[in-house]
Amino acid sequence: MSPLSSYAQEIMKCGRCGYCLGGYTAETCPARYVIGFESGAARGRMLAARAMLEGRLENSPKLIQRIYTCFLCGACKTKCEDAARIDTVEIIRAMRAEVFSQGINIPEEVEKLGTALETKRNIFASAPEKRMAWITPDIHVDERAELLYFPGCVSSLRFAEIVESTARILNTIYVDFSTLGVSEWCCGNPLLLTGQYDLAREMARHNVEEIKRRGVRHVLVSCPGCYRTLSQEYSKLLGFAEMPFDVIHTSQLFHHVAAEGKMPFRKMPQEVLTYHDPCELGRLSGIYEEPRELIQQIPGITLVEMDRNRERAWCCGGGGGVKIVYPSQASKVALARLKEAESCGATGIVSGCPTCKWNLNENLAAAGSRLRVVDLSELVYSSLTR
Amino acid sequence: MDKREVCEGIAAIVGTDNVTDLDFDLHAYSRDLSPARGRVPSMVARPRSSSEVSAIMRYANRKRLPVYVRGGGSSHWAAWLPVHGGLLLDMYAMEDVLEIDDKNLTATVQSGCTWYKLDGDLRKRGLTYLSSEMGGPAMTVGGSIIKAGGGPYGTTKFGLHGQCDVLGLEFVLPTGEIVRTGSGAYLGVPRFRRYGIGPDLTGLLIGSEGTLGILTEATLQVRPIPKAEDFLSFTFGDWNDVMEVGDAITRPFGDEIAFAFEASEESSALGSITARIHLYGYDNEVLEYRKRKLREICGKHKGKEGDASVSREFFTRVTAGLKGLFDQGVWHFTGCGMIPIRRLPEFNEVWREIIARKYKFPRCTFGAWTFPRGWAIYAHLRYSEPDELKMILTISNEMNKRFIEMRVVPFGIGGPDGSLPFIRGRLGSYYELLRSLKKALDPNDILQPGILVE
Repeated sequence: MSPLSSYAQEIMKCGRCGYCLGGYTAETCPARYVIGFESGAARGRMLAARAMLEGRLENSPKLIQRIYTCFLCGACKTKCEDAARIDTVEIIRAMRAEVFSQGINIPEEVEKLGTALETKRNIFASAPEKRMAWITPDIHVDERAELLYFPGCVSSLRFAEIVESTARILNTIYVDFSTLGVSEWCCGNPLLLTGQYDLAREMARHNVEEIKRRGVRHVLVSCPGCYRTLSQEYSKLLGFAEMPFDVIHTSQLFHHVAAEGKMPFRKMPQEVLTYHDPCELGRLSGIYEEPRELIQQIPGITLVEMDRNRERAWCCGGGGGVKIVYPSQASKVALARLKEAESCGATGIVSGCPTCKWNLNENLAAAGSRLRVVDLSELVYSSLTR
Repeated sequence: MDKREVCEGIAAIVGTDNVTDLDFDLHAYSRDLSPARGRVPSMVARPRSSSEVSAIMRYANRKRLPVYVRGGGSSHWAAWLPVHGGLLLDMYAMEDVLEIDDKNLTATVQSGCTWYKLDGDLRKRGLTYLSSEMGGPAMTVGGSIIKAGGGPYGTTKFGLHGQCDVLGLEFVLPTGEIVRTGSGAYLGVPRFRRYGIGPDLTGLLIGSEGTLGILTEATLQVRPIPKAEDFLSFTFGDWNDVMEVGDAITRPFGDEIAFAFEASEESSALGSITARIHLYGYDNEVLEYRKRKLREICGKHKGKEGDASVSREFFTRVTAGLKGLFDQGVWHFTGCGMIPIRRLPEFNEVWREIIARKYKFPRCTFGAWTFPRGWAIYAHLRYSEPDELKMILTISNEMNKRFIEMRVVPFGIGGPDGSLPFIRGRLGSYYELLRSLKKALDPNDILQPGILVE
């Protein structure tokens, strides 16, 4: 059975009501926003998926281009929960898997990503040992700890400040942690997003074996993509009824510690910040309140909401592999989000995702914005008494 | 037709990013909400202004290019599916709220603006558009007007909104001229009154199913948000009683007692009719008076009061969309249209005969809502594609045929995949006039060919 045909029945459930589009172009679907045409939104994609299943769409570079221009942000899936309850994200990923399995007209960037992960096991094709460059002598890592910190590719190889902040918070609150060191491979999420399921499975198998070998029961992640992949996708990829470990996002752990009054916050200068919900942490994992409650506990910080927040949050543009394949489209979506953040009166955006930080930061100049964009772990660490 | 050449011609008007002939894009426009078979356009363009629409129509005339027009894409009867291929205009890019005039209580929007967006903007100013169709957030103002649409929301009080609250339009004739109607036809005069000099040309477009012109702007009468609203629900055992209630509610013509009154019966529970009522008032005393009157009327006609939250849920999600929409399968509306106030039970009886006795189809609703001195009725089937498609079309065709023989006035006709085959030959000289108008306005028959007017 081809990847897409296993979703045939679900695709037919689409009644074409248009909930997934939202009430205006820029409300719900970032792909519709950048493409303009109906094919950007889930309703159009379900009809295109049906045409693919029925052999009415030929594989062509243009077809592939449209298939890879979905941010997989899940906004349509959330809307559809009121209507047909179609897992649009799964189906759009399966469309990618379908064309990838045919091996024709695959975007060069997708192939490069696969090669990087096959050879170097990280999305940047960096030398594996660079993953651990953030561990300086003053950071204490206990290889026997029951909590394993899995920083992920983007944090460890591009935004060391996120990983360092996380490690230093853990040291400050006396929570011991270990790592997989150079044995940490990419979680596989970018492969799932781009339709490369076999390689994703190989990455999953490796990481699970490494984690099991260490006997740890709790895995802490900084990246919502890693969070969703380890907690939701690994069991499906590997056929596990139950995973041998649980997965915690940094926002959850830090919220828990702060709620117990054990996070030694100090008074910060007055600042108005807004929280940007990462798609894979919010809509796709249901974690909305912990990050907000954590931010609100920091003395001096006032949290304000953007118009679209929680399940209605607009994607940062960094999701779904679009940033890799069509960066200009990722930028357009980021600009819309930055404008929204500016208009809510915040001077900074906090997110719980390194890719959100990456894409929003990268577009600040184009937006003419003076907002600062920080990860939750950076904000928390900077507010601790040390 | 040289598709490449045409795309380049259209791109010169709307820009290359706003025209496409990619298969993937075209298939995304191949269906509406109905089970009508897919029709794939040759290309799709997204105009952003009246002048772009005008230029497209002039170009299309030179090329004899069929042009179809789509709003939110959610028509129930193949109202825009491109039966002859050609260019499909996706009006969704024309979605701006152009002006809210809180002195004259009007709102002017581009035709691709959704009710959801308009009402959201109005509410920020303490206003609302009170009369609106049921449906999802994709439904556009232009789409509703052009098909003279209606749903139960506010219809008991205000009638079908596509006909009652439109103060003026801007549209592009099939030959490309831009026309404004009502008081807005005068240069510099705002659209505050539908009737200007001469005949009601606003009405010419309402319900025209896009065949006589392309709607680009509309001005609507809006209202302050009512201070008080409430909901009631009743159950009935007999449609004769429901009919009496509808009659009594709409008898005080111009001061109808309910804002909306809708009733429905499931094929799986015949004899159990649920009525949902929405009330509003600008004053609590008025609201309480109406509630008391409604309880009296329903009680007199054997209505049993039930859980009002059912009605609240139903009416408050008008533009956001109803929950659990497709739990029993995707939708198909059939037999939809308007009937005089005293004829409701006979249509329900035919529905029962077809659905319950002949086909024994378990997932179907018969429903009706009042407008001033009449009922709008519908049958609503839930089915699975592709397995039940053939059976659904059989049932639907039979229902349409029977209801039209019984002289329901359909909401819309659409094309060969809609109700046109059932209407053909039933409209007499009116249809001949429509044909003549179409020919005069669209001499090359390029706008919505095959829809409404053959």
